[in-house]
Amino acid sequence: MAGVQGFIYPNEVELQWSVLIVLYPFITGLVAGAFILASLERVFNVSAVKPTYRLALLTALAFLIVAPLPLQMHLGHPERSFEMYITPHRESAMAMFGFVYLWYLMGVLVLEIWFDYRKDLVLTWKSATGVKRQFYGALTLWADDISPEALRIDDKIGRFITIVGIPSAFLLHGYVGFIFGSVKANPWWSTPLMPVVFIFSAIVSGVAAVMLLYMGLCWRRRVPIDMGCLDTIAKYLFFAFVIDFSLEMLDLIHRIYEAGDSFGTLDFMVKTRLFVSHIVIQICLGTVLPILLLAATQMIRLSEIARRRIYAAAGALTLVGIFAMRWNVVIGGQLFSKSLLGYTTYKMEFATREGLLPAIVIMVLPFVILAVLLRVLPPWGDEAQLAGNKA
Amino acid sequence: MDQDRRGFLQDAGKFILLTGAATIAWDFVVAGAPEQAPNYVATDHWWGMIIDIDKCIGSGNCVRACKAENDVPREEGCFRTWVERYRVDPDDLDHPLVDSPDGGYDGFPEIDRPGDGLKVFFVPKLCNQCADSPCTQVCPVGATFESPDGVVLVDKTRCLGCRYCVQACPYGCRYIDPRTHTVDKCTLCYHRITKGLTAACCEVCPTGARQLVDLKNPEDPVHQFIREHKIHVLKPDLATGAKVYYNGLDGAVR
Amino acid sequence: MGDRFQHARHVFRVAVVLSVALVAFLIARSALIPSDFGVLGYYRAGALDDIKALPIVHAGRTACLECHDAYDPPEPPDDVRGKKLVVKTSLDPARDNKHFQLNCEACHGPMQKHVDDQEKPVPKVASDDLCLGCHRTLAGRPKFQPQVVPADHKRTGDEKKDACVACHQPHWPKTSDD
Repeated sequence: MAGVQGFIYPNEVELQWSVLIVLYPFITGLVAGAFILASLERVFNVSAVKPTYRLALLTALAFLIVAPLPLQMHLGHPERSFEMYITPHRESAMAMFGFVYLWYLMGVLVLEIWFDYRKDLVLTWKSATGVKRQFYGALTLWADDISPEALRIDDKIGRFITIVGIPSAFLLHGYVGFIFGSVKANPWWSTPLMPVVFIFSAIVSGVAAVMLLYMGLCWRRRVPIDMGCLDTIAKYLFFAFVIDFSLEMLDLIHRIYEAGDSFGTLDFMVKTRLFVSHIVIQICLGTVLPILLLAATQMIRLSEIARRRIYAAAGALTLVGIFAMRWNVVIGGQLFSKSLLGYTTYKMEFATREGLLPAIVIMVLPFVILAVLLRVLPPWGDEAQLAGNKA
Repeated sequence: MDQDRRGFLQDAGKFILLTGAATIAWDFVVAGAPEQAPNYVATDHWWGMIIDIDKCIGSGNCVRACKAENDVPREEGCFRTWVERYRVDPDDLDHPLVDSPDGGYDGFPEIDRPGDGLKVFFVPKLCNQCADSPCTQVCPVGATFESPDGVVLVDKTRCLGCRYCVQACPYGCRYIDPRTHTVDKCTLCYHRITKGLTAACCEVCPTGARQLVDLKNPEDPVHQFIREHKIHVLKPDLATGAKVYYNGLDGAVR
Repeated sequence: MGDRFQHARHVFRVAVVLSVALVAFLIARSALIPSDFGVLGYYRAGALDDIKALPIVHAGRTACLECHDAYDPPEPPDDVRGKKLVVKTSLDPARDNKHFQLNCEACHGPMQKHVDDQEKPVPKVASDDLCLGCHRTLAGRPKFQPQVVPADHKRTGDEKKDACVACHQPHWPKTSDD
């Protein structure tokens, strides 16, 4: 058996969960993190980040729409996935997926976006013609009341949804952490810290993603970046990162100190098969370096250009680092045998159902969807485009 | 008037109660009798297995018989049962050398001569039919379950192939059948034991190292066996309620 | 009262849409769940029947002995070819037959097909590889198991005379040396 070192149980020769299962927590993490950024303004009244509020919601929606795709492509029988809705096994964390996903999509994100955009949708509806008029009319459910009283109700409801949305976002991604953390058979996964680490790394990745998108879209629209907004986002990114890093280090130090029966096997794995993805990419390049960069901007007075460049670099490194973290959890947890006596390798193919090509397509798709959403639901609320005349 | 109202309420209560009860009973009627084997009552049995390491000669009969009986694919990584050979160096107890060539399907090639200084023994493995199985706990749709007689089974018409149960099993006894894209595992030859036969692996074991046992049967030899031998289960620290009892299981066995 | 809700009509529309979707889901759900799901546990009870109905491949010792028992032979068996069916194996434990506990299919392989249709001829299985599978010397085999190193065991050089079955009758393997 190629790539096998030591002894593995005969059935362990092939990895069960592929790169697609790495993508799912990465994507839902971006969703949860983007939403938390949006809630900073809506619930915690951090008004500095308002320019990114709608963008964050649309980003979350674009990624959430794509989220089930890697799972469907992984299942042996995707046509049976509806069973999760009709006979969910309540003892299984994975059974929560169908309902948590649906709740978050319909009950939180779609509703929040609808209530926030309603005034603009009605205005567009009334001033458009032909197919566009029908389309926007349907989006508004043909209710055209945009009086101040109605808008006040919208605002209250939107606020309430966001408040409910915060624990929902934690649930959406926390249960993914629990899916791994509750598997007592796998010592790399089994820790109560797993859902917490997942949530905080989700916040970090989502905030970084929205920050990069904001910077990129401002550049594309040739509009000056609101530095107050950007600096605030970077500050929250820094804080979230420090917490995330502390949690991960706590887990690591605890394992090294206790050195339980699985430690020898896992330690060897991290130092050999997982060295590049875990030590180099996740920890050094993906966590320590962005934290240092962000810390520099918090402590040293830097020019706007310098800060923008540092934020862009830190943001990009963060996304790579958080992806590496998902990879190290999912793939790393399957590289060693449950006998603790051997290791296998992950042979990722390219153009198969669970290969690299579908993974790339799945990661590109949310940006395509986001581009469409940006057109249909322009987040830059004060522009003339909304009147529907230009677009 | 009062009497009429009370009478009415009593009748209504009875009606509601009986309708409710009838509805529940109807569910059972409609579901059909779940046990079609004529004399087999599942709740009379609680199946397990005894494996006597001191008797296993590593013949591989069990692996071959299982594959034949249950139409298990011959592909790599598809084993319902397999045999591991442990070679333990008394000076390095933490690092036993283990091999399982093709699961032991063709027996084992010679590596050491007897008396070479290593402690060598064979360990047959299979699904432990856990009473508190972590694999059935994590199935999202109820496609794997424990039967009323203690056998962990897979409903192939409902399995999604999500592989969560494969991850959750501490013993590595589950695999994905490449033909059906659903999960598969040892069924303790459920189709045989419910008809009074023994499991295929036990039938062909040349030394009687593997024996099917019914823990609910007071006359089953398992009770005496457990009294007379030092019994172990695999990975007891995970509290899976494993029902495969090993005699002579060395501490080196993972 | 009406005045307060006058400006919330759009909220009611959303509520209606969501309620309709919920009801549709509940109806679809009860139609799709199998009727025997949840009866015995959180699974489809019919799965037990599906598994019980799987084909038997190994007949089991009892089935073999119904026709092939020398200790308690059946009445003249219904054999079309008139061949001797009984197997010369002593089932009397007092006779100390070392292969007594060895079930037939351990060497003969799966025999249910033969039980179902006895016209099908069954090949004899005498081969050295079969015997050596259990009896060749291998580290890890317990002491009670008779083991030989083939190259060192009573070799004469004649292939026929060196076959295991030349000295050992498989159903009663003791030789004059025992």
